[in-house]
Amino acid sequence: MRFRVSHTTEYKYAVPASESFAELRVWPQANASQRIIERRLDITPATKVDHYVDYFGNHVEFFTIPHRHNSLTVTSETEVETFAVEPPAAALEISVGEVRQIFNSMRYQLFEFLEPSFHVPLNQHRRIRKQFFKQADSYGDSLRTLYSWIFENFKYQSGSTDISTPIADVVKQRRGVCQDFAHLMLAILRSNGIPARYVSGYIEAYDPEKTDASLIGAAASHAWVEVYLPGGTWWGLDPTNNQAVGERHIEVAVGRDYRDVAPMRGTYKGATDQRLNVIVSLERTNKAHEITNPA
Amino acid sequence: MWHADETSSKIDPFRDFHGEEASAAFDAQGGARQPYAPIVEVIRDCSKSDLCQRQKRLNHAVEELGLQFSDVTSSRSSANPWRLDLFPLSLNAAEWQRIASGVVQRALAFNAYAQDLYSEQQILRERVIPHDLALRDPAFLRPLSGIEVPYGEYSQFGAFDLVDAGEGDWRVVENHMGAPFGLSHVLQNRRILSQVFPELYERVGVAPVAGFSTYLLEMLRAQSSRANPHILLLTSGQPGQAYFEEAFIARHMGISIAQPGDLLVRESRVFLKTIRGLEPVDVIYRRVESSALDPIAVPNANAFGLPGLINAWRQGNIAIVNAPGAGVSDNRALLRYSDRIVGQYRNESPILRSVETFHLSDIDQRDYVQEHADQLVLKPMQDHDMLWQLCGGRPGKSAASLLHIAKQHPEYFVAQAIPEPAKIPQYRDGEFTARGGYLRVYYILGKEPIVLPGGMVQQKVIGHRTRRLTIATDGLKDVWVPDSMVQDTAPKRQPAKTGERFSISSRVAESLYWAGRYLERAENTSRQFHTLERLRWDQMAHAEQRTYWPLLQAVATATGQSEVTKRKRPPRDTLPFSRSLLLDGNKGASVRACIRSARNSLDRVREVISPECREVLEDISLYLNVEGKRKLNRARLTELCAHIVSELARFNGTAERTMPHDDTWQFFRIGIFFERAVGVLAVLKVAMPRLVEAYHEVDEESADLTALLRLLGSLDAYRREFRSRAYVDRICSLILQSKHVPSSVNFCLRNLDYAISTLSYNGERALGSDLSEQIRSLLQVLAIFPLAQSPMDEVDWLDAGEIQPKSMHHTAEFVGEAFEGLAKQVEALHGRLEDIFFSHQDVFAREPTLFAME
Repeated sequence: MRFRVSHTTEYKYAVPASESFAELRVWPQANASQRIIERRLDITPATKVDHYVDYFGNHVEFFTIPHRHNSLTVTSETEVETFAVEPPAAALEISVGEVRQIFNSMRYQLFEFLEPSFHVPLNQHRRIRKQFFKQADSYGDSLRTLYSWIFENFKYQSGSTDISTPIADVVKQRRGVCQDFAHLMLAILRSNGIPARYVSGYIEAYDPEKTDASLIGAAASHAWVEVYLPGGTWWGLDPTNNQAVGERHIEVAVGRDYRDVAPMRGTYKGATDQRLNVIVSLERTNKAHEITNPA
Repeated sequence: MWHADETSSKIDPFRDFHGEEASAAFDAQGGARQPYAPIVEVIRDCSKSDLCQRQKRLNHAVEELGLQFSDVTSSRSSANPWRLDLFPLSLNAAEWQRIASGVVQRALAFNAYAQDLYSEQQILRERVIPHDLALRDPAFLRPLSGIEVPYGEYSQFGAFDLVDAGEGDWRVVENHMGAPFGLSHVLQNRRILSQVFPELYERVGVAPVAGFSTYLLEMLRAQSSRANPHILLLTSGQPGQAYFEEAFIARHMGISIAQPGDLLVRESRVFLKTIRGLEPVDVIYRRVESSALDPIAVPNANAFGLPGLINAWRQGNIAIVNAPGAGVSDNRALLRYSDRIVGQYRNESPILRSVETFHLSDIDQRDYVQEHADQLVLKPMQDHDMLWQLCGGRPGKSAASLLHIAKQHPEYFVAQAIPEPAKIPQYRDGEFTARGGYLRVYYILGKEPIVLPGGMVQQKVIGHRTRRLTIATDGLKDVWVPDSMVQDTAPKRQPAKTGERFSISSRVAESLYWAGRYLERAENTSRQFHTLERLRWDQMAHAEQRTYWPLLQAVATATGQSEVTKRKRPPRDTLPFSRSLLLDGNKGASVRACIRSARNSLDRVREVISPECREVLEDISLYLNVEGKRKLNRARLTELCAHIVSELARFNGTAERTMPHDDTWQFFRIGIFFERAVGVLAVLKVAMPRLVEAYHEVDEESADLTALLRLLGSLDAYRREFRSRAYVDRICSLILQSKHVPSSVNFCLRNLDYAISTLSYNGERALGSDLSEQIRSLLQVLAIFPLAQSPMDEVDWLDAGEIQPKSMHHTAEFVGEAFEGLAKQVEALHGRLEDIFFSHQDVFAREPTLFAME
């Protein structure tokens, strides 16, 4: 599937700001499940943008605006083609006991994704984590059981949490947003010795070809997790939507948790009074469709 | 008989060492060993009282220095104790040779480790050391990975703590490769001991240590290809031991000292904000922890840092020494594997071994530690803020508290079996006793690695520190290395005093400017309130009160109490209102709040404020804190005002007499004169329209106008100038136009202009020139201000009582607007001052390309 994604972040300052500096992680990855056709970044006020690749392989762009400005708008536009990539069946059929052995022999390579991280404390909620990943169960079934359990037991409620809400509160309240479910799933996975990482991205919320197939996570950045599969691939799982990641997910950045992938992190000088507006739009740009409707 | 007795009663000060087993300084027969023989000889020649005197002088000299790095606001007893022993540690040539080559070998090997960890991690892939102790190190900051560090030398300046396990078998206790501390103590210890006890140095050739700061500077200069690079020392600026050392080293090297807030990153280049504009920076000597350097690259809620610094470094636009992330080499869990690390990267056998160290994350090692707990020293893996965050908080002072955390987070702790150090004499209370110590030795890498021929001995067992960059200063020793060991001690060239070429930072200028403003405002309010109170407000008749109310309103408005401005009549009891005007710490512009703000401003730039000035300000704050808690009656308040006025006069006098009259000082004056002009206009714009109104209504002897003059401290000046009753136009003329009256706006503006004209900013940028133009055009505005026109002929008429003065034709509304407009124009100068000297918006505004796309 082909999509055009536009991600705009807009700050309006009550008092002019100066010395703005920000790092962006809004450049979608190129990988087996997606191809980047076109990408552009616009910043107003205009400024020079530099770029590097971080520890986790993400594209990072950064810029400074030293002079006074009343607003700051960052728009990242990407045209991307996604592919459905099935996980290797063999990797999902083997037992949890076996994958644990494999992961144990790879502790160095997988270290970051097994350790606790800033938003993902481990070894809490013993009763919850103990119900998953029994030694004899198949790896694939265990993973599906876990994301379905989160989907069924937690209510998606936008605005119910923010990025500072700890997992413990989410567990207590049984509600949250996609990043909470991703962090919770990471905590359960890592506590069980399953290497897993956080993914930021976008999702097509409504399927234009079907009227009833809406997915949660519309009009904003989405988040899910990837687990490591024996053989060296990462498999995306979306607990918010009770499914494995497919063609309608667009991956932007990966890391240990939200902290490693925050779409925009910056500072400025000025009053704290600011209004933030984030607009994400995503539309299919189906070539075939365009051709059959020359109009 | 008793004569002979006296000579024989001279007791050998080293009698404790007789018949003892061999120590570092004496053999088993009690004879002094080779490097110590001359020292022992000199000391044996001294009388008991002489030695006692010398130690006293040492203590005294050290105490004086110690005062500089203790926090002046805290009591002296809490100042860091710093004791220097008069018996030095002396190393023989062979011993030093081995230490020096071992230090270089180790420094190179652990640098290679840092380089490896931040790139390929070969040592972990090859399983030479366990991966978890390296990857779990809180100093290992993944965002700093993949950045090219010149020559892979993360730590170009570092130190090691060594212990002599006996017979010159030196072992490493700790690495200090991230941010080595204590160089200032090395230099000071040598200076003080050689001054107090020069005889010690006469018989032996001791290698000098003074040149080490020059080597350090040379190394910093070599980081940049520019002929005369701009180098600065980056400090967190928190007062304490570390800041003392930083100020000392910066002064010795002649480089500027800056805090992250003094710097700005723009298009991946680092600039120092100075009153001359933005000065590009080439090299940073980093004394700020890596995790607190850049809040964007390394998110850290506890630090402001300099956003964008890491990216500027990544692009190769700035050299940072030591490289961010260098602290990974200090990971104590690595000490167990130091031989392997030397083998891996140097392919050599280790010259200096580490003391036996156990990592508690390993179950077998943990068991061993548990069984031998009483012989081991427990330490965290790093003295790193992040580590304590991961452990859920810092430990208390007790050993049990540390042990408790270690049990919960064994992966972050090590235990060391530190051997009993070889003993050398220590002088205490008239005697020498045997005492062991730990030696800190410093290195500088670069083209030719150098090991400082000397160092520092600490006599305390080095446990964990609660703050990084500190040492136990109780029981320091000078360290001697034979002079013969040092070739080519003279630095190749004498470095230029780079610090002097660069201007004072904007932060310093801005702090002084605000301090000047706050103190002036406090002085204004106190003086004006005092004047009003002496008019005996309470005893006035109601009608009289009405004529004074505008004046009190004016003072209140100038102090930011705008709710008072709108009141038509005075409140029945003005006491609570008066109290809040003076003492309410929460009211932004009360006298007490102003003094506190001034103190905060000056605290941030304590390096440029004379101790005498700080003392006066301390006195005032203390006084206000005490008075603020009391119930004050009217008389007490008046007294308080008088006290503050005289204390602030004392402050200004002290500043005038004890601070250099340089750019820093000028910004203090700029603040004073600007605030005074603003304050005078604030009073006039509220009082004048009301007085004019009252004048129309009651047309009586203008007592209130006299009061206004008194309020502005200008009654005497008025009488000298005009020898007449007070008239509105004459007052305006005096207060707006006089060149000599200190309260006049003209006087303030011309002093402002003068202060700006003396600043040593670059002529080519001519930053101040348009500011000067602005001030001069304001002076023009004052000259033709409508209310201040008083042709003499009209005044004659007026005195004859036949015609009202011209200004009386102006309505209150007109008067109000005229002053309002004038005040706005003067206040606008602040924005210009800020743009030009502090925030540097001026520079950006001049570059049209930056705005082109807006």
